[in-house]
Amino acid sequence: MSTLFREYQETSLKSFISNDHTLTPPNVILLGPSGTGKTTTLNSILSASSNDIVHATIRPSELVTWKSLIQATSRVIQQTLILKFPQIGAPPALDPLQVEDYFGLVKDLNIVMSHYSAVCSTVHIVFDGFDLLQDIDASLLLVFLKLHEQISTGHLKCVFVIRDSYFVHRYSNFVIPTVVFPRYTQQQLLKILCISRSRDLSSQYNNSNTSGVEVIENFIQLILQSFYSYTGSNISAINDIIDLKWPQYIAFLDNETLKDSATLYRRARHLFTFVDEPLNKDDGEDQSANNGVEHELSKIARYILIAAYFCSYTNPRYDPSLFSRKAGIKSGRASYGRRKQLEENPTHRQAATFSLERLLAIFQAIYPLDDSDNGNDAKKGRGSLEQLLQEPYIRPNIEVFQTIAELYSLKWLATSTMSVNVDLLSAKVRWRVNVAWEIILEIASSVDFDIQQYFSDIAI
Amino acid sequence: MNINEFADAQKTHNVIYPILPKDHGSDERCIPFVPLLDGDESTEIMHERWQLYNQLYIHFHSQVDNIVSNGEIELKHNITKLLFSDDHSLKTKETFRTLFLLGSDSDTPIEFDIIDPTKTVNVLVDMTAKESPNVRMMLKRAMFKVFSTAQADYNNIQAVIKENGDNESISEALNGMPQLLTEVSYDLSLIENFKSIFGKDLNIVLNFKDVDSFSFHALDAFIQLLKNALKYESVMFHLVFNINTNISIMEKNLSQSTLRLLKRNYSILDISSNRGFKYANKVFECFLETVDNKLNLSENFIEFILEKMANNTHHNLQLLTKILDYSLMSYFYENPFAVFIDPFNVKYLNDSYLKLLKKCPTYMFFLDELVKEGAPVNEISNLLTNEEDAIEQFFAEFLVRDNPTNRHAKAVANILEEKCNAQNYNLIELYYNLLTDNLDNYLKKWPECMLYKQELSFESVDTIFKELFTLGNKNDLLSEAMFPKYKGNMEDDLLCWERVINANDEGSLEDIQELESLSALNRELGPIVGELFKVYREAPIVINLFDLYTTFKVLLPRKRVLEFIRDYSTKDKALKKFINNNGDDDSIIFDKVVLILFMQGIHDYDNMGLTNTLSKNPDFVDKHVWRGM
Repeated sequence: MSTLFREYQETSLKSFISNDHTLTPPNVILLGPSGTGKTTTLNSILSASSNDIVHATIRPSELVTWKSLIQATSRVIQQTLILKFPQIGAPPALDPLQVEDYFGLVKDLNIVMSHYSAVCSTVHIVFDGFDLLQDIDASLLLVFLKLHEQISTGHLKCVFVIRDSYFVHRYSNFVIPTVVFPRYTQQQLLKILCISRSRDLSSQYNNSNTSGVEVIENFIQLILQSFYSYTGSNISAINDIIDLKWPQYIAFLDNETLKDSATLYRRARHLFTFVDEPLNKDDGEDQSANNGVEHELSKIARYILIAAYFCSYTNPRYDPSLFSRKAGIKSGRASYGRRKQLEENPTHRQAATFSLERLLAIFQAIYPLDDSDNGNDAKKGRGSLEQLLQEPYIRPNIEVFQTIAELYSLKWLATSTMSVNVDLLSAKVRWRVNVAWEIILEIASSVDFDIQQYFSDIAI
Repeated sequence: MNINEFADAQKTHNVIYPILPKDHGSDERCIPFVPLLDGDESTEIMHERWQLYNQLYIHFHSQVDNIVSNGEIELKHNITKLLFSDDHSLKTKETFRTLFLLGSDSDTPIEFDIIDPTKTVNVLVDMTAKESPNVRMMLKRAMFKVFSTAQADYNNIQAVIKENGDNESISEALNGMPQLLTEVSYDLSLIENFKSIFGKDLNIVLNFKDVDSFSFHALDAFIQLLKNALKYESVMFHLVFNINTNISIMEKNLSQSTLRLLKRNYSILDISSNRGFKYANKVFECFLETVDNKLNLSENFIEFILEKMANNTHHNLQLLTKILDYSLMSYFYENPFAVFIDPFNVKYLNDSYLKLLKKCPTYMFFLDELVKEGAPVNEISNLLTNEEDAIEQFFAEFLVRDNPTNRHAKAVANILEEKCNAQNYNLIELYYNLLTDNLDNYLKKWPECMLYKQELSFESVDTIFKELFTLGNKNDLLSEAMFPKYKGNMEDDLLCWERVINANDEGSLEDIQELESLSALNRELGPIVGELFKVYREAPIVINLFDLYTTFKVLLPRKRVLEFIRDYSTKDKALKKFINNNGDDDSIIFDKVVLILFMQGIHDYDNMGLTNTLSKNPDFVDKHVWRGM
């Protein structure tokens, strides 16, 4: 079966794949973004080709490094030949792991190819997704382009399947024949999907009713129309969405909607308004069970974050006046009177670094003195002995440091150094807050802390 | 240099354990308790107290261990069920089976379901962030683990077969293992050829530990890479992500296509023990039971537990156990009446205890009530003077009673659980509300409870001698000991120097001790470092030394200092000379003396680590300690 909308590409490829090496150039590139049918077309041609065409496929994306790519090339060619021509007998045992570099590969290939030269003169190698190799560099393709020249007996023909057009443009002066696979249009996609998915989808929907095909086509069209702007012509993304939505969609199917696609759409309309659900589905009815599933910051953590934000975004010069707790000293913005409006909103800048001690000091200053909201005051009584025993302010104890460590591992606080092994308690380490203004506003409002008044000279 | 030395040299930190001086006298006194009642407690009772404490401690811990291990078994079972339950209907396409473990500390054990080991090889691959810098390393490590496990498995079978001595089966087994063994490389080709190499299916669990600190770029690429291997039929992939925080960390950092891949077949399990109060409730309940429901827990102690648990998002259970543990220990350490928790020990009751008993407020209230009710005089006086052992009997009677609050807390919990089907109540909070007579408020969360109002109502009663059997956070002992403060002492001492320097201490400068002006000065001026610290606290982050000096000068009692200098110069010739050299000018002399003191103080601070001189500008110093702005 030929691949839809790829007749031209098929013809060009068919002419390339032949055992007569004099007819075609040794290398060809298939160029096109993902989901344009490169591999499908190639596979359909290779499987349909005559039996005496020897071909091997290597997927560089699975191999990660160039070294294992070279090893895999050697191994795959050997295996293909061994399987294809068992009557010849195994070639001299070659360990593909010994192939450490390009020359090792050439040496091995020469040995193998000469061993099989009687039965096979041309081997086709397909590099499926050549530019997906993790550590690809500019010279690697050149190496493989020239591979055929190094084989003394027999011939190699390489097909490079490449996604990135920029990658190919680098080698444009080598004038390698390139077969381009353009993106599918929406109409083409619809047709392709209808053909490729209908059996699969109808198997999930066990209904003997014959109009199943129509429902599926309708569904695919709806999906395409709603999500094409999001997925583009990326077939795998569309397929993912189809897989996701289909079970939900068929839940709306019944005898009535089977005939009437408009009603079906109206009922299932909400499915087409969003791409997919978040990982933790919050079902409204199951609120109580979900309570506390979210990782909550403790109160201390919230105040530490606020303090860290102050440290990064206010000038240490004003600290004493901003945060002093002495009676009679106005705190907040009022303390230093009118200042010139800052030219630039400091919250837009990068966070300044600060020392841990400053964070602790500000934290201590802003952490609320007593839990008056809990109504504890009334019980302890102002001026009672018990109140004298109470700490006037929170002191950085082990909990505070635990929380700081936690915030650090959450990457809400960061150190200025990039290195992983930092001695976090060293006085030299500078810290930085890693939270945006909007989030800190949210956090501050969650603990009833008016952070705005400290930044009132900023036009927000 | 040998390897160990080299490795030590590479470390950024070293831990040095001080050698403890061996105390030879401590052989006979091997228990850490000391006699109470101002030392009147007999050694026998002290031992009894120690033993009783140990009994309770062991009992409590065995219970906690039980609870924890039960929880772990349950968890293991859950994970296995989620990962391996045969739900083939879900596997419409090749997918990973994904499990997100929320709030996990990455130590969660994963056990394989029993799948026929003759057909399948189970491989558990642990991936940690440190070992996964990039896709290449992740793949190599994972494949190496797969290969080594499979080979070990193969070798085992070989050994078994050889023992049986069955020649045919050997050759059969060997057939499954062709010479290809040498040809594997540690990449996906191993998975591809696994069936042909080992002749078995492969069941891989990739356990990503501490996902939050992974490089998500590498993780994403790795999952995409593994996706290529899904098409092999003989291989099942299970991914377990241990997430410390929220699931959203995955959603934010992985690419949409990867997420869609994971979403095809996933489950989320919240395993942190603090989610839901199930285990904390059990631990707390078992603590109440430990002492036969006899102990009271004071209000502020419960409040303390609640507060500390709220501050700690992870390891809540451990924290709770630790607090309860410590409070029990401190109670037995300092309370002489602890020994009577075992009513059998009432035989030890003697006069020194009775003295204390009589002073108990609850006991006095009780007597007060008796007087008001007009009880027989004779009875009351007996209870006061312990004639006919009245107090003793009275006390012994109370020893066998248990605490109504504890009993009621349990009853309420039972009602909540069985009749209202509520699982998410917090027993500790409930207990706190019981103590503060606030139970109705707390129970509002479960409107179903209103049906059982009669059974739930509770009035907290003051049990007599309650204060003797109450665990509390007295003098903030627990907060001090369990949550030590950072750098607290040095600064405290600088501020309140009185508590380290004994005012009555006769200094070494005996010859000037009698000077009247010195004592006057001492009254007004503390140690220089202490005085300087007052100024230092108010200083900005970069301290201008001159400004600091000027402020410091203003702060000193000029008159007293000068008086003392004048007085002392009569005795000290060098000082006399200094005064003369400066033309007897008070202001110059004072300035210079203060400067000397100031420089001394600043140098002391440098040595104490409170300041740091800037190398480029010696007029300024960095301020290092910020407390108490």
